[in-house]
Amino acid sequence: MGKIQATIFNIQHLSLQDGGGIRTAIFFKGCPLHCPWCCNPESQNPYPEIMYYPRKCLGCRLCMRKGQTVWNPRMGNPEKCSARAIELCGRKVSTDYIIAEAEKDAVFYRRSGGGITLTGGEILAQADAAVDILIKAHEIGMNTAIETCGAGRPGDFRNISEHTDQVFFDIKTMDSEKHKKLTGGSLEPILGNLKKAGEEVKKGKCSLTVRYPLIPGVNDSDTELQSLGKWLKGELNAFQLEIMPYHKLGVGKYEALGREYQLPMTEVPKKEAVERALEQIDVPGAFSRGNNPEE
Amino acid sequence: MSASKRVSNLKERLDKQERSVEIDRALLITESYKKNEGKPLILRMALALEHILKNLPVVIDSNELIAGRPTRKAKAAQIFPEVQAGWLEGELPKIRTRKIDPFALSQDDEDILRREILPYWKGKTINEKVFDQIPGWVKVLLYENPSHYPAAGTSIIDNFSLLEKGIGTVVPNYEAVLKKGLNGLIDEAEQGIAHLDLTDPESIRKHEYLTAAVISLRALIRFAGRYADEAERQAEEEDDLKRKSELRELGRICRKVPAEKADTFYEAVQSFWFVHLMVRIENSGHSISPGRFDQYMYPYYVLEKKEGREHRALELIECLFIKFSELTLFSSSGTSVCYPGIPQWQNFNLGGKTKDGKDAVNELSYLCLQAMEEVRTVQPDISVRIHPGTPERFLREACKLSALGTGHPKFYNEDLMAFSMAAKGVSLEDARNFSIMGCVEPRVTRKEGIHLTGGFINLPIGIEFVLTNGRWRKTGEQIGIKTGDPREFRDFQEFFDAWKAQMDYLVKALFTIDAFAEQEYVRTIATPFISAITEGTIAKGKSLQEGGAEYNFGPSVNLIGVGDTADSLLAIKKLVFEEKKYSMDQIVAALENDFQDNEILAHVLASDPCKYGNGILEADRIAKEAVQYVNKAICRNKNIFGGKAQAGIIPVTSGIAFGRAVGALPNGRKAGKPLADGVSPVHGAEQGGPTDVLHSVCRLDPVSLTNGILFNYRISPQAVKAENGLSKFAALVRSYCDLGGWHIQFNVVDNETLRDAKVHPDQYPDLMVRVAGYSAYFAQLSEEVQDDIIERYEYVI
Repeated sequence: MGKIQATIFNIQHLSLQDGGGIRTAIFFKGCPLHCPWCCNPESQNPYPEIMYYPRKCLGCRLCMRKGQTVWNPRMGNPEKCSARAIELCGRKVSTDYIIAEAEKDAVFYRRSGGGITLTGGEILAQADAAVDILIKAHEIGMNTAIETCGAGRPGDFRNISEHTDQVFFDIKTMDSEKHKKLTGGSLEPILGNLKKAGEEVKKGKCSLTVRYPLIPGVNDSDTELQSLGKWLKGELNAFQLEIMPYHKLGVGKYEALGREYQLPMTEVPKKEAVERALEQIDVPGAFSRGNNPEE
Repeated sequence: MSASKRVSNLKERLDKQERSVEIDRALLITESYKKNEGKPLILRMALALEHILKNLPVVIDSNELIAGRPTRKAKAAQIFPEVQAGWLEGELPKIRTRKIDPFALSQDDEDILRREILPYWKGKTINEKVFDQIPGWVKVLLYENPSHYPAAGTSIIDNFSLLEKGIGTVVPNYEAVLKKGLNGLIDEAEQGIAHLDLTDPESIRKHEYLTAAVISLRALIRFAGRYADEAERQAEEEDDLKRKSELRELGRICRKVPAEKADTFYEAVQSFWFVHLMVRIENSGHSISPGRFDQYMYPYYVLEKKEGREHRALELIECLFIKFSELTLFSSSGTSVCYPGIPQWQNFNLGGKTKDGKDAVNELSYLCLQAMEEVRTVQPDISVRIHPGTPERFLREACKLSALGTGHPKFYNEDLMAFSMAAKGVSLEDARNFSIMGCVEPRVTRKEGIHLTGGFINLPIGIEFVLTNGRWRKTGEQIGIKTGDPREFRDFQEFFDAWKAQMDYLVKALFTIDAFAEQEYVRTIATPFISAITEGTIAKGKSLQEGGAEYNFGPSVNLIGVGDTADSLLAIKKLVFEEKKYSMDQIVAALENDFQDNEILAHVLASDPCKYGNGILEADRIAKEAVQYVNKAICRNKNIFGGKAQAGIIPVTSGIAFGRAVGALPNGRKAGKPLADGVSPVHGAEQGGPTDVLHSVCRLDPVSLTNGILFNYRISPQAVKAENGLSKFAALVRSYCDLGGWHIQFNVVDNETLRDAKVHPDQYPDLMVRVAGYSAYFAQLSEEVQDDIIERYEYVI
């Protein structure tokens, strides 16, 4: 132990919305799904990549590497960029390092009932590292939470959920054909893992929040919402449902990665649309925090 | 909840009122001083107070429940020629038109000031006398143009803003007046006089002080009596029966207090206000603070509650907040740059612990928070004192007020401040029962004297002096000491030692000024009233200016530019000596012409990640070493009464003025730009997370900076809007206290800020926007997204 590593792209201190209390969120890099609305596109590829913000670039060309003849900031050396126009997104760190970073915030956990939240990207894609972190966190009495899309091996999910206090589980659609088409992944194993999470809840081992991204024109039809509500009520005992209205905050990151944004024409849902969705799903206690900028 | 109709009307009237200058006090003190030349100083001042309070116009505005104002109009400033005459004349031509904080002044009054008042006082004020006396080597550090008065400050070391305003910075002992009445204090003073052995030469000064005390206490009783007359006169003429009876009640109360002890909440509030007013008439300084209002007023609130009149108590507190906001001071253009908006720093404490260590929150504490939520005035400054036993509900109510974006309250770490008081020699009981004065400064309740002077010290100018071998880039003159050619330094330690030597020199200069200033203060200014209400001075027969208080700390010195200093030291340490990326020669050359030939170098230096405020141990350690070095150098000094000097980091907005003095710095900062705010990281240097900066601030060891440190922290309204958002907000405050923080105030950002941030992204590098699971710096977002966030609808959940 101790030598296990994870590829992460961010550690966010003072996270207020990723679980109970004040939390430290660890963003894993790499995801088996590729949802076109993803607001963290830099989380999708499992390898480090360059993000380039042309508006911040001074044009000093200090980033050119040895042997480069043509200036291309996307191939440049981020360490040489004083304007922080080029950033290397993603690094391999040991699980011990992650625990040490989270422990710095322990004083904030104690007062707020917070802890560490593993998110991504998809933590199931680096399950060994995730389990190692969660076990180490529990050893020192740290509260643990995960945010997952559920796409991964059932064995891995079981190992992870055994050491998790709060599970946040994303469901994108209940239509398996659409799921495959939109995200590139199959729905069935995801639902299997969700049921497993439900069993853990039954044993009193963790809490479960199902999160549903509400994307206008993609997954917001009444029938789809109703079938989601029905399935959840039928298969799960105790859970909370949170609707996460679509937002466009990630658009700039696509540009920075040199990629194209897939849903340029989609509108952000209005307040009424979110309220309507909550009605259609008809799950007691379902809520939405809206899509306000926060913190 | 919203304020009553009366309170809303009073508030509306106040908001519409423009600032003006009045000269009644100036005329009256001049008349009296001329008449009493040759009398002992303290008697002369007491007689002046008597004359002022006999003749100052008495005004009760319609609908007012609390009577008393130092001026005819609200938001008007009296002139204090005894401290202001030196620089006032130069200020008069621009007084109505100056950009920051203009004041109205009638032409007639201006003429009278010029003709009858200023000529008498010219040459007699403290700052003129200090200017005349201090040695040349100090003068060049203090004044930009040391050859003639009034001279502008250099912002290298400074105490002009203190000298030109006069003293202040005090928590008066309101409690004594509430409990004993002024008549009780007069009895004590008269008995003191009766027991003096007047054959003993030592007794004569005591006789002078006690006589002056009696005169000034009686003067206030007479002043209150004039308000009683006015209230009765208005009652006589009033047709509205309800108002008529209000005015009769007000008349009765002003006839009774502050002469007698207060017996109801209303009487206590009115008595409190007369005392506050009197200190403001006697003393021209800022930061005259109410202190622990919820403690000394609580017994009277209990009586009010017994009668079932909580609601009236609330209205009275709201009326009182409006009265606080009516007060203003006149300050020079120079001071207004440092402190725009004429802040008053009337620090109003709530919560904390009692002197025997129990939680002190009571119903009145809640009521005061509610009053501020309803009335939302700028003054007084609401402060809440937090300790582990502070009720969660109280902390949440305080957080709720903050989340509204009112700017109130400030949060303080009760136990840490008490510990710091005890460590500097205050008894345990007094240490626990401290009051917070001004911004973040703890004072001994009832028993501490007025700090006569203090000052500011610019830390990064020391970096400049090391790099220029003592030459000030702004003028080219050699005013620092010669610490050697930096290009010949062999290691970082040599550089750091040179900086320390420059700081020692500046500290010495500042305390030289302070020593002269203190001598002049005790020769020039006397405060018989506030002396008389301070515990122990009557028994000792010694005024505050004779060291009559039990505790006499100060001068209190403010450190400016912590972040820039630490980052500059780090750049030299790492980039020049350790990594050898740049030679000292390159750095010196680039800074000498403000990076004009090497713009990229400025960026490279600014972007080096090893900076203070990011939770990086190495960086924070340098910051602490720098701060603590200067702190210790300051604390070795004593004041005229033998009390210990102390330091703090309370710059308010003076980083802007002090930044103008400093040329380019090795942290990539360009010449003249503002210095980092207080203990915050330099703008643009924040790379760590929001918890990292809290760790960094606490690593400076706030408890040892016994005059306090101020920390601004920015969060968005949405983060704290929901009920569980408030819990997290409250937890954040508690955690900050656990870490050893001294004070924290929250800037809850709204859309207007976001709009401004969109236009000026460089000024908001640390503004974060969030939705669940996603975070970004606002400045990094595309324009479309920025608009999206600004225009986004809000959920109420």
